[in-house]
Amino acid sequence: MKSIKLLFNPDLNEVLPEDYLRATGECFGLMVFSSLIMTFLFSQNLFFDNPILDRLGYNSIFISFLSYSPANYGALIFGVFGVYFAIHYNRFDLLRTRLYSPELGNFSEKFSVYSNLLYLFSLTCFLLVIFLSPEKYPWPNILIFIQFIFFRSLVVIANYFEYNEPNNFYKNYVILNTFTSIVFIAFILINYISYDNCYDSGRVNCASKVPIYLSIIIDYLWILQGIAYTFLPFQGPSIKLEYSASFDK
Amino acid sequence: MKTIDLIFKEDAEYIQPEDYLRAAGESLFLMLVVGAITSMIFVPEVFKSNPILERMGYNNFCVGFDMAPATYFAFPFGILYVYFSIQFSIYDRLRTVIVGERLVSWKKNFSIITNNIYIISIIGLPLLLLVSPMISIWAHSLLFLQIVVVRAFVVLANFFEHPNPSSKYKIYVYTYILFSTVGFSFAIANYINFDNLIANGANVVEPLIPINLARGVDYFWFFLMFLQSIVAEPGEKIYVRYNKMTQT
Repeated sequence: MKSIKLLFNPDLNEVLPEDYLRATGECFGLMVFSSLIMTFLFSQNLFFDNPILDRLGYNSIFISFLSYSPANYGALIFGVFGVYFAIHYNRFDLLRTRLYSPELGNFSEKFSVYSNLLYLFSLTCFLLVIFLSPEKYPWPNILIFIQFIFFRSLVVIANYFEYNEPNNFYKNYVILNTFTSIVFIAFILINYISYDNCYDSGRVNCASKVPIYLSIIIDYLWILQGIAYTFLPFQGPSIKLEYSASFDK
Repeated sequence: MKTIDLIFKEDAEYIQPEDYLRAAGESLFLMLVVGAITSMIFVPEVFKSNPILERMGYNNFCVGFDMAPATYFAFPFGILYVYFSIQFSIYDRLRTVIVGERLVSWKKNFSIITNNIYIISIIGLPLLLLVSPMISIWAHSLLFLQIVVVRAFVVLANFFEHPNPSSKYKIYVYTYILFSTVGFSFAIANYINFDNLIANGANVVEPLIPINLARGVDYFWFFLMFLQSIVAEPGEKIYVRYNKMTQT
């Protein structure tokens, strides 16, 4: 596993930023997977009854089960390491851009720096979903998820601008990812607002406004795009490292 | 502040591993302050009654961030603490490898092993925010106490690595080890005493360790942690050069 190797036995001669992206993917994958397994083992009733299911009409595997103990203990451990690797991916990716493309425009570099910083802040906030259960805090819980979707799409665009000559596959990916992210956010908001309106009007069985199959397609497409971005080779060159140590030079 | 420097203006030429330890200390300080202020505003009653107060007889600094909503505000600083601590461990281990020739084998191994254990141990900090004292006082406290012990080993390993430590540094390290060990023992003794007396039917429990003594050790441990950046002497800087990969 990349995450174990990078933490305990990293290559001292070269660094490939995408290794950190893959480690981030591994950690977030384990975060979601462990939450599903723990929910299956200890609180199966959540699969059939939870506030996110009430609002969206289906179980979103990414967000639905992160906030319940004991699933949230494992999720927090993997999530924290995921944030750690994401920070390093951004650091090394930017460093590589400066090394290989010093002629990169001022706008692209600034856009990349600020969107990456916002993304790091967003990732840290995202882990708060582990603390804020959707029963007690349905809106804060989902808004934290929504800001994560938004800033992630922003950073995908920013990283795209870092490349001088990106290929068509990458370009299409970025367009599709931006579209999916916007639609996903819109669907979530529509479903949550309509649920609140329905509930406030005194009705009991409030169905989701957006057709369930459409929501599921967009949700799972967004997840698949995340997996693709993490593990497919949108890969740049490595950075060569040379270390020495002394008290002063 | 090192925290700000290392996030926004990281030096591209060299790495001083101890800077990350200092930034971690700053993050912990911010976590304590933000947690305490939030608790004072939203849940001031936590300072009058909580499981740690019942067992120790005084409020530990960490009480401030144990209860929601203080937990939520303290959490991002906890993430910073974890980030800087892992960075310190990785860079300190890297320096050990680079200067390995001048170190005897056991010092080198001791440093590498303690750094690796610290990477795992440090995850206890965000986890203890989730496992509040109200959920499990033992799990909550042990998550913190194991960090105290492992960190003491890290500080000791760093001292052993230093080629020419001053007497001041030596006194600091041994004092830190002493207070870490004593603080850990006091907490465990008070917790076991509380459990035993409650099991025997007591309603109110007097702490086994005199309150002022336990409090003095506890607060002085935190003071020593913040003193580290002033007293502890940093080891070698790691100079790093980044280059493009050449085609072979």
